[in-house]
Amino acid sequence: MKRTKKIHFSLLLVSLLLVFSFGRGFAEGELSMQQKIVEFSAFTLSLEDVLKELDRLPEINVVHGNIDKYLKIKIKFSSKKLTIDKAAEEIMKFVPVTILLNGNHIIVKEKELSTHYLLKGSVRDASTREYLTGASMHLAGTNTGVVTDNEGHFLLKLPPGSYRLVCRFIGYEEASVDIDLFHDQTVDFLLQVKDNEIREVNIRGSYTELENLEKGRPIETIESKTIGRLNTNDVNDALHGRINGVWNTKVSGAPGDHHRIRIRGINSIFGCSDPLYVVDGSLIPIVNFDNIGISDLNAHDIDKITVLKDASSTALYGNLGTNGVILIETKKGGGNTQFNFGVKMGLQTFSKRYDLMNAENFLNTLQLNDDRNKTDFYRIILSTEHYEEYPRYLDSLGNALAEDDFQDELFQTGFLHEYRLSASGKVNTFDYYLSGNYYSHDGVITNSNYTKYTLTANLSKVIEDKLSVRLLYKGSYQENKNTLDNFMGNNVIFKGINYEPAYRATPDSFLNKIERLYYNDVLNASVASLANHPTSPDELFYEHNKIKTDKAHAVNLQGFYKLNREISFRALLSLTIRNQVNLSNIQKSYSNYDYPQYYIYERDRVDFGEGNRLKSDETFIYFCQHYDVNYTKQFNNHLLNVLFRYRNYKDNAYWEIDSVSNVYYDQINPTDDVFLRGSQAIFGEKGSVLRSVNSGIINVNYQYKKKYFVSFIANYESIKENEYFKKPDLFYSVALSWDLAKEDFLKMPHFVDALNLRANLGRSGNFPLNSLADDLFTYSGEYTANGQAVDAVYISNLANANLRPESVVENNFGAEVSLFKERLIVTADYYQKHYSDLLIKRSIPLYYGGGTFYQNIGEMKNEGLELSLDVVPVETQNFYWNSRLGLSTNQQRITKLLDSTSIKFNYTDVLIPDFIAKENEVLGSITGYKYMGKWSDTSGEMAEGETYFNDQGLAYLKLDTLNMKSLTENDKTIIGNSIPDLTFHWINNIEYKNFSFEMMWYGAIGVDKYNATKASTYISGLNANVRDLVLDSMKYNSSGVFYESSFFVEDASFIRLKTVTFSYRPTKKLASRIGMEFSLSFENLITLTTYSGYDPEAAIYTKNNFSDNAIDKGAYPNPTGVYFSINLTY
Amino acid sequence: MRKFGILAAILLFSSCEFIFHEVDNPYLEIDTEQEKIDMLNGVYSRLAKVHNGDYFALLCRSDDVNNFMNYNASGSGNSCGVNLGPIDYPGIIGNSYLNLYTAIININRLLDVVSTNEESALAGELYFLRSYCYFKLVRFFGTPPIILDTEVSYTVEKPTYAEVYAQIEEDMFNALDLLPDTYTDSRIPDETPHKGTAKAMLAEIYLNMAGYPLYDEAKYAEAVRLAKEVIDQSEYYNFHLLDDYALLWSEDNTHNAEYLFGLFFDAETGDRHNSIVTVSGGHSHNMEYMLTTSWYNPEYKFFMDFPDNYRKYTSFTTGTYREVSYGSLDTVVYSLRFVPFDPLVDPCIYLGGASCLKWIYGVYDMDDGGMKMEKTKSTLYLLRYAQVLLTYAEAKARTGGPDAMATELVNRIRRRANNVNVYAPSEFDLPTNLTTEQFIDSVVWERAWELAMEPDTRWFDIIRLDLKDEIDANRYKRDLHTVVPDEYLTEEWYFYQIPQEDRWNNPNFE
Repeated sequence: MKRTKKIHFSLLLVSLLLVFSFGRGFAEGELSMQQKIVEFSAFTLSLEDVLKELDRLPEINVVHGNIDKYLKIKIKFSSKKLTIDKAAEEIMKFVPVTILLNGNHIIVKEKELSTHYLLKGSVRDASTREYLTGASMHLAGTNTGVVTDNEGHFLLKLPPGSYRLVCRFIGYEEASVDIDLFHDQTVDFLLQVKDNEIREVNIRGSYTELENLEKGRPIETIESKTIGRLNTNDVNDALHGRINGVWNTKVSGAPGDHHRIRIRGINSIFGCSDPLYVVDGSLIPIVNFDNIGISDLNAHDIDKITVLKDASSTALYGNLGTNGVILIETKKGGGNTQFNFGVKMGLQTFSKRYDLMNAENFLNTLQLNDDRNKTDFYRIILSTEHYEEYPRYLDSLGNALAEDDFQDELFQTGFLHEYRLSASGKVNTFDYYLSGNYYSHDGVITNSNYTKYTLTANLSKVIEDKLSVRLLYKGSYQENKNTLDNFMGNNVIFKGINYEPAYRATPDSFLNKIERLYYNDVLNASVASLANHPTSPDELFYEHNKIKTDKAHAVNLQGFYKLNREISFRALLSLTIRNQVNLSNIQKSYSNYDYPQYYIYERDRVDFGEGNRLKSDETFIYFCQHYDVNYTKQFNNHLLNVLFRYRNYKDNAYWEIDSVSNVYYDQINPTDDVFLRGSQAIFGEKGSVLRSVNSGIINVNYQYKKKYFVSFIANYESIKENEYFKKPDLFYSVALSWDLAKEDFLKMPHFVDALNLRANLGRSGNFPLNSLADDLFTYSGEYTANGQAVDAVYISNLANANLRPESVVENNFGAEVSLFKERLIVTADYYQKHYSDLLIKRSIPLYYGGGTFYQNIGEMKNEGLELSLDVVPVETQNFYWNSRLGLSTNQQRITKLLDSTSIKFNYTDVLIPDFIAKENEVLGSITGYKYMGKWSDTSGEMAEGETYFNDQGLAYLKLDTLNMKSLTENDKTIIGNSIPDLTFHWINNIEYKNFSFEMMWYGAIGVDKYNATKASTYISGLNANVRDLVLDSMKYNSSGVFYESSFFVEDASFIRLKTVTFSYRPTKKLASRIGMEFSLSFENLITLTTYSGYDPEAAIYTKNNFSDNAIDKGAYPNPTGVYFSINLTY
Repeated sequence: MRKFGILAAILLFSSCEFIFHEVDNPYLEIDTEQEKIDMLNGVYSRLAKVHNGDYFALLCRSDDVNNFMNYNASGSGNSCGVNLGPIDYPGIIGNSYLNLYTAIININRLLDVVSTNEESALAGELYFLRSYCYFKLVRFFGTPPIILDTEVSYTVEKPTYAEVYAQIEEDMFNALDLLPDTYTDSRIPDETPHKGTAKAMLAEIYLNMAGYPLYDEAKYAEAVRLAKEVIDQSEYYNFHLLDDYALLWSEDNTHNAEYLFGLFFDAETGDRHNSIVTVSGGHSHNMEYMLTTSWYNPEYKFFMDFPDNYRKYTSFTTGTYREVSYGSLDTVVYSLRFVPFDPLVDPCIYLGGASCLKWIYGVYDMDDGGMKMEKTKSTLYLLRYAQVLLTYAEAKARTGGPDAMATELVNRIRRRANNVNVYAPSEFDLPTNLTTEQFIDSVVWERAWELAMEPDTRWFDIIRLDLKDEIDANRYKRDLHTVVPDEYLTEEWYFYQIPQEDRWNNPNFE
């Protein structure tokens, strides 16, 4: 003690001297001691060694009291080189001592110990960074333990001492850490997935049976954390740009569910290509051409989404699997009682505009056109009286309307808000999860909105760890108003964009416009629709109402019984009833298209008043049951798992159209306005279809030494549709996987965690409900026999007795490399799909009574490459950065068509280009005339062997040399392809302390679109370019040739900053118990594209697989949105 | 107990059938008698659909009887102020073609399930009807596809004329085997076919086979044999000529002894009306309109040449029934009156000539203020006894000259045409000194007049007798517009091309 004092005194003297002699020296000298760098010999040293090493430093003395009992404690430094200051700090973390830095002395003395210290921390999945609920924390050699809470955190209060904390969680590698607890400590576990082992069946866990298949197959999952971060209501948003090989296009920005999902390309020429959704084990039917969808779910209630991409896994779903399967599991209850309340508010705006003429320019242009051509076709009187009589652009109330065009009237600021409340926990022995949600969304198009209510209840009970039962209920109500696009496109946009501001000013010009349209395109549905223009904006926006309501109730009962370690049983029963009602009160139409010259001015409008409307009512009932026996056995290095399943799936659709009295629809099919899935509905009748699918499935998974994995699936399935279609079939798959990194002879570098190679082969089928419904259709009429009215039934549509479901055989070769403790994962998959028995709806010869039926007519090949890169560049205690890039390419080729015929999808509508399916051609080719520029430009220099056709000053490539006088069907050639060559996503996810940030870029490259919206502005003459055409002395009119040409085909490739989300989760809790989370997100903030239309991503629904992405005909654009949400957790 | 309850609930839930909603189609598997009859009625309803107003567009197209009011005398199509648009030949041809084949598909389907032993009458009727359908098809299309099953094929071979006729003959032989002997035993007495009608129809078929394009002249003798059998047993079959020609189209007399085969109607609306005089256009139907715009007018020459007798004025009118108003100062009463066409008032109608009254009489309910039911309930004859008599007379004359019976039969027709006693010799009888050629010629014209504007009659005669050149040579200029554009015809001119859609579907028919 004496010695210390002396040193201290002398230091003081020296210091004083320094201060006086060098001015600022005192402070510097003091600091230099504290910040002196010490370099330790190793990261981990015992306290004894540390003190020795410190003492060895020049000019530094270490003194300590009685701390002998701590001398053996190991200290782990963050770095070998540290300042003394920092070193002392770190030492104090490990040893209960107090260190004082006094002059040249380091004084170490025993710290006064508290009776208890807190040991807290969290458990997370090492790869997904997902917090794990229910992981068990256990102190080795004691009975003390705890389970992580709903947020993956745990807390232990322990007396000081040394412990070994072990963390276990099903499906993960066990982790442990040694702790010397002499102060409060935080331990965060990152658990590695135990992926080299067949998982034991968990009686509380998943009811999708895939745990044992994921090994060795291209299956991808999205966890609830990711879904939650997106903060969306729409489940399909979660799939948007997150899974490689899933081409998910948000084809419409309308409120509600408008995704078009294609997994690994388009899986049929004419049949359905939508994936099969399986919600909690219940299969959602595909009716006619599309899946009835999962819009009845709320994304917040989703626990996990699993995507089965290839046939080796979809073989499990047999006849329903070809298009890929999306398995959705909803959240389960259990754990601590927790209430969650969330509010979301958002604004949406859309600012892109077409360049349209204002009234004055428009009228001038038409006049100019007449002058140039010496016609009085437009008969426009631009007298001052007109303007005085009809003040420009004022509505009936005297309010000014848009100056330039009508687009500003068309778009509004969209607003959405959402409230949700959920509770989960445990009551007695029941686990529960309850959730209610209200969502309301006004779209960016005037008078379009969407409302949705959902209610979810999930109850489960575990009895003696042997038996578990679960009961789920999901109810929903949705209302879509004017959000549904159909074959005619969104009428409000389509017509609104062509709403002529001059209309009120000069009604004559408008009527003339209609007349002009009629003369040219009497039989053209689009043009007729365009001409059939509302007389006032109110009529366009508010009297044009299409309302779709959708009610759903689903009940799901599941049971699980574990006989012993090896054998378990599982049963699932689910029943869903969904009802969709479409109601339309659109006012139309011209009564008779036969008499344009007489009836043009008589707008024979139909009053769709009460009881005088178009209504369709469809009900879908689907029922699914399956019973499993699961056998798992492990011995030595062998692991065997066998699953037997019987599944029965039934779906039933029936529909009714409540037709309107006195409606005379001619060119416009009523089904275009009433969006019906039942194909029979076109007969305006009632109908139904009932399908039953019975499957017997065996799945064998075998693993040897955790290196080799082999899996087989055999699925013998019988499909029956109504009474007259029955077809048994065998679906199968083989999956092989080999982890090279585990092979000793290969001597992989130590940073390679795993190098998996996999090869898969599988077969699955595709058969939409309802395709056969109109086969062997009989029609009832009447006849008079013996003076009495008698029933007279005749066959109006024969059936194809030899029909087979479509099927695919798919090969998949994949490799997955994981490096640097999973900091970098690279996955690549190459697949080849060979389709056969592709269905096509073919017209039956009239000599067999006419009609249409399905025939197995085609074969197709589809191949693609999927590449993904998952990097964690930075990972520290507080900072985590994950970047994922996914690229996928796909190419389809039709390899065979029956009789080598080419199938043309030839629409008479000039705003719908033609499509062709032809042997050895790529699917999705847009067909039309090739526009070669203005005639004057090309007439001088025609390329060798090429001829052009002049149509009013415009040149088109002429291919048909037999008929030079006009453009013929033979002049049509491929002018674009609507299927992207490459789609990609790039997701960056950064977490810093309580902040997290995510941004997702999504893009589709090499995709063409036919811009029919733009074309319509050429028909109406409102497009600003029309003036140029007229000024170029061209006779301008709405000739059909102009529109089916490449002139309107544009490259619709785009790269889009799809979502950006910032969220903040304050550590401080509100009122001590309520946790908070704030998030701010942006949608479609940046779009890079050369596409001139509203939205390169949007397209209309054409009821045709490969033209579905090809036409933007008043398609509802995706708006830019900003959303703010608050989440409270109690 | 509780466990059993849960088990029972699960079982109930798992069956779930009670929830599903299925609209059954009982005709997918036709197993009951009633379902068979319903589908048989479907065949008749299709035949009724074939014979609508449009059907005359097929018949009138090149014959010398039927005019087409759409095209008025000037041929410009529009000068009467009534524009029904251009004739939709593809649609009209397609309609007849499709409906005949729909009937055939129904028959084929039924023949799969009808037992020829136990349900011989039904089977016989089906064979009869199929034979009849193909007979129509062969006359209209020459070589239509022969379809005898319900398995759709896109590669059916194009048959020869002989093959089609062989099929027609075979079906009718089957019908003759299976059908009941008399009208009293037939499925519906006085309506559905029996052996007698089958024989008469076969005689008609043979008459056609003996002419263009087969020229199988041996068939004349067969026709004579069969027609004679029918005539000899006419009392047994209850066939005879009605005394009054006008009675044939009376709505009170739909079932009568002159009917052999045809279609029955019993309503003004829906499917159950005789739509052969349907006015196209959808305007208000009054008789004036009906007469001026129906496609049911004779060619000018035919009307002018028509012997001026009772039959002519029962068949045609040269005036119209028109609403005429009269009344006092405060009331106006409308009444339907016959107003002769007046060239000064209505030049188009006058030039158009006459209108056929055969079915139109039925349309008008004179008791009900003389107005407008839309459709007639009159029987549509596809074969009547008068035709059998003339068939016998002609076929007999062509096989060695007319006998006394042939002459007597023709005379009976002529007597009735003049509304005198059918069975007593009269001034209207044929001259006795006719050569065979002259006799045949007069019989052929007698057929044209007797059966004027009834479906198929004159047009089938024109084909079998190859009268194209003769008609063309004699056609009045004003009737020329009724010739069908070549694009719808085959090279043989007499036959239509089968619809474009089927030529695309099956290149064998290109």
